Amino acid sequence: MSFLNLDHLQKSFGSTQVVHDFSLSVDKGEFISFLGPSGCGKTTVLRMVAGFEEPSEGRILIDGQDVTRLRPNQRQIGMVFQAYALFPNLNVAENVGFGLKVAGVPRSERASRVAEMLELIGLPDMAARFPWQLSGGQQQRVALARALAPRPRVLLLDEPLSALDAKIRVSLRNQIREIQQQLGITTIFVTHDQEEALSISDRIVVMHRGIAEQTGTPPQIYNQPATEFVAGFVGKLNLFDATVLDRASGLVSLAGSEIRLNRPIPPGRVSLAARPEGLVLAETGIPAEVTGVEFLGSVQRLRARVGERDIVLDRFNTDASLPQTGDRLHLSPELSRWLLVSHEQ
Amino acid sequence: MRTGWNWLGVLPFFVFAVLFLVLPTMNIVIGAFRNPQGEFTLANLAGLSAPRIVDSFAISIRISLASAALGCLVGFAMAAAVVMGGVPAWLKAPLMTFSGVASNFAGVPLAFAFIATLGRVGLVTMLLRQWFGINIYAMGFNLLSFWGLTLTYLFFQIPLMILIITPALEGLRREWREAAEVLGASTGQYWRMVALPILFPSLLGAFALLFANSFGAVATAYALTGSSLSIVPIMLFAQIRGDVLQDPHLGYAMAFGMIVVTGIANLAYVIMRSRAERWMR
Repeated sequence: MSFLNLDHLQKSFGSTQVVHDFSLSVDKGEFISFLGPSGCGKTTVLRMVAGFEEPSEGRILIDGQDVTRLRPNQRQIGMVFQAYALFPNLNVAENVGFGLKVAGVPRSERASRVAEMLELIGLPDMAARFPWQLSGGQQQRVALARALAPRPRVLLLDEPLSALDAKIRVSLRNQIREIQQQLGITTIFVTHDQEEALSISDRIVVMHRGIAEQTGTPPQIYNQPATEFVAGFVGKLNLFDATVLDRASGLVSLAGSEIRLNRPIPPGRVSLAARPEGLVLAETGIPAEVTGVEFLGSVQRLRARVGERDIVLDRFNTDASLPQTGDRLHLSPELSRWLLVSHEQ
Repeated sequence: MRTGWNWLGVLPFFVFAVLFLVLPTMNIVIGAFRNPQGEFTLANLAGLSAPRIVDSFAISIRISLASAALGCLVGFAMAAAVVMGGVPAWLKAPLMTFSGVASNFAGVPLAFAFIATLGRVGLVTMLLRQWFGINIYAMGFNLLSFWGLTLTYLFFQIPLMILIITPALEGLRREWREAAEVLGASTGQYWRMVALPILFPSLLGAFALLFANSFGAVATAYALTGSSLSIVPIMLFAQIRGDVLQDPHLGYAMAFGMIVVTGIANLAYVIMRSRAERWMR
């Protein structure tokens, strides 16, 4: 049985429904990311798990216990907020020990747990400092230690990296993942950054307009996007105007070239698509005209026009000379990574 | 040169402060140590030890402490109810507007308003007696007394507290409460361990301001009680304007004493605030 169950959650604010029939089962120790644009409902779901918002419908179960109507202080949950939310009047040790103090843990036990947590986040010498004396990254690490100190059953991370600069963001996300794996704590991570979600999650829930568009592992989400929204939101995507020749065998025609997808084409409106790094130049095939070239160090990015569509093609930087704007090239139709994305109804 | 021109902008303030604050204060301090002939003396200060003057300082300090404490308590509760309580949000704007007006409503109009409502034949006094059979004067209430004056002062003290503390309450971040709550803290623990320590410097500042506001108030007290309640400003007023008691240099000494009391209050405030703010940059 799953450790955390979100069972048909719905949430409305007045007449506006922001979460529609959201269900998810999370295993113990799993790291799940809620990924989506602003206003998609991901933070609302997280706040319902924390107990700050009450679901209009549905249930939340942690380790078999129905916590839907419990107050946040009765749920044994740890949470890290976007803006750190450290208590400014308490020093680092007092912040980390706060949850233990309100739980009545004796002073000596509290002190050893605080020291253990500060060691875990790599700030053992910062115990006496106040929040304003720390950098953003250090503050967020202290916030993580504070959330973990009382040994919560579930850890909630509400865009914890978005207030940090790019370099710190990468190192801290790796540290968060290491600590999560070390402690084996069930974690929900809310982010609008696809790279963050792809890099540290066991599974990702891509959310859009209050519903879970797709739930899957990072490779599933990236390589097999279920909807046009997922395909467009996670990574760059080129869409092509193709004509279906045979749905059953997956045969389509694109700019005069026949493409065999070797899988049936699902009913309804679908588009043929490919990631920029999935496209390959060839001697013959789909004609394209180069409209721009960007040299990005390890990658060369070509902008091209195929029929009426503008596309992007990425290829590793090799010794081969860069194509020039106006060059006429061909794209290989023999790709293993053609995608079929369903259009929203 | 740019700096020179910038200073010009604040020149009127400094001129004003020197003319109407620094010079009069110096005049008071110097006057407190001079006799009518302009010679140095400590007799004026010695006069402060007279029992009636000691009593006036005592009663002034007690009224100021009581009205500041009650003003802080009630004003804080009202501001908290509006900012974070269940009171409808639309109530905030009218309350703040009313507080702005009421905090400046003092002197003769305020005294008259209280006499007309809570005086012996005031509207509220009579309504309470006729409708509910409650005779507040028979129960010991007297508008021209310590608690009467304190109650009257609260009319401007509470709104002043609301005006001062509302921005501080709005500065409490929602995430602090939520972080405390999710860490297992009760509402009481959050207030005791997080919110009140954060607000403590603001509360101290508000208390000091309310104390000074009450300590220096004269028009309301004089209009309400005449000379029946001998608080310091009324005694001082009598030394300057009084027909019988006139002694301007004792008045200077009393004013000097008021400066000292206010100075001590402010010093205590500064020390406590610096301790309370040790976590700030």
